[in-house]
Amino acid sequence: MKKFVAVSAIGEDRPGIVAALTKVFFETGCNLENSSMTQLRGDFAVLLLISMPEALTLESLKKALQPIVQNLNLAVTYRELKPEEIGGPVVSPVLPYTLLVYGLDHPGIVYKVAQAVTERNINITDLRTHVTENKGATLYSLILEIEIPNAAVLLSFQKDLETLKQELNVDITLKAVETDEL
Amino acid sequence: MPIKPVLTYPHPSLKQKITDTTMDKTLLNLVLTDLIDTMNQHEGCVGLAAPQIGHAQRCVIVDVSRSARAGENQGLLKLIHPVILEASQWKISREGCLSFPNLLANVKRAQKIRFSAFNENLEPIELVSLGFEAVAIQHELDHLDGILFLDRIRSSKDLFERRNPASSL
Repeated sequence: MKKFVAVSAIGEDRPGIVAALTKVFFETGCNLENSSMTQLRGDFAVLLLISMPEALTLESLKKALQPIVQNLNLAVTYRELKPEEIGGPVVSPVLPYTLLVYGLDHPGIVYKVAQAVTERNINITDLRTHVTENKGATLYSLILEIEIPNAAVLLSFQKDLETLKQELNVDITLKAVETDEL
Repeated sequence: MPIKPVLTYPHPSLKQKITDTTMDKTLLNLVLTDLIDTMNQHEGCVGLAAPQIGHAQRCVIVDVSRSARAGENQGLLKLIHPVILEASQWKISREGCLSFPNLLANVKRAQKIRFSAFNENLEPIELVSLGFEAVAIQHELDHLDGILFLDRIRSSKDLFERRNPASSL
């Protein structure tokens, strides 16, 4: 039975980080399952879910990666998944929505939005933030992909967002995820 | 030359729907002139809407012939009270906006639109636009309703920080 390991690595951005990591996975018979890799200003961050062959231990994978971790000065964490985590969470039908919040940067935007989301038992599946200069003003953009449990919660949450918009002095757009069937 | 500064977010004018219905030819032509003169000051800019330069009339200009990726186009379009009548052939493309100089977004727009408007002589016109020109017109018309291109993104992966200044709508 395959084993799954979640790996995170972050270090100063430079060409070759992905190639170096995936070379080790290839050579040790690991498979890169789900992943997200992105530049964060001057750093590069990777979040990986690796499936390992049965014969490979987490310790031997760590050992194989160690020279790269050292050479590239990466901060790395490993976490082996329990068998019940491998299939992902059991989810009941939900309403997928994209929530966009933007305005002048100030402390607490993500916290207040995340708090409003969690208070309605809404799950966040993806979150991105951007800080950009807008002709002398610092603009903060926050985008979340969320799963709203049902239509009643959606209605309540829309009201919450109206309040939040005033409180945080931001603009907010909430829209259902559209799926193009081609 | 009446070149106006382009308003950037969070200027409140950018989030307001313009309800003005004026047909004052002198005023509307003044707005169009300001839009053209201002657009010409921004290399790569292919369109501007009145609220971006602080005017509260439903006027936009679009000229995608200023861009290397213009495609089929009708040159400079001066549109007063424009209304989209039909939209089809939806496609996602990456847009910028002078009101958000450092952001880009993937936005789904129609590649073919039929729209009506009044020209600078206040004569009614009805036109069809395709491709980039159609996209630019939709972007500018959104400005008249206080809708910014950010409001059109569909997922968390649709917003990007601009690395190099490039052409903007």
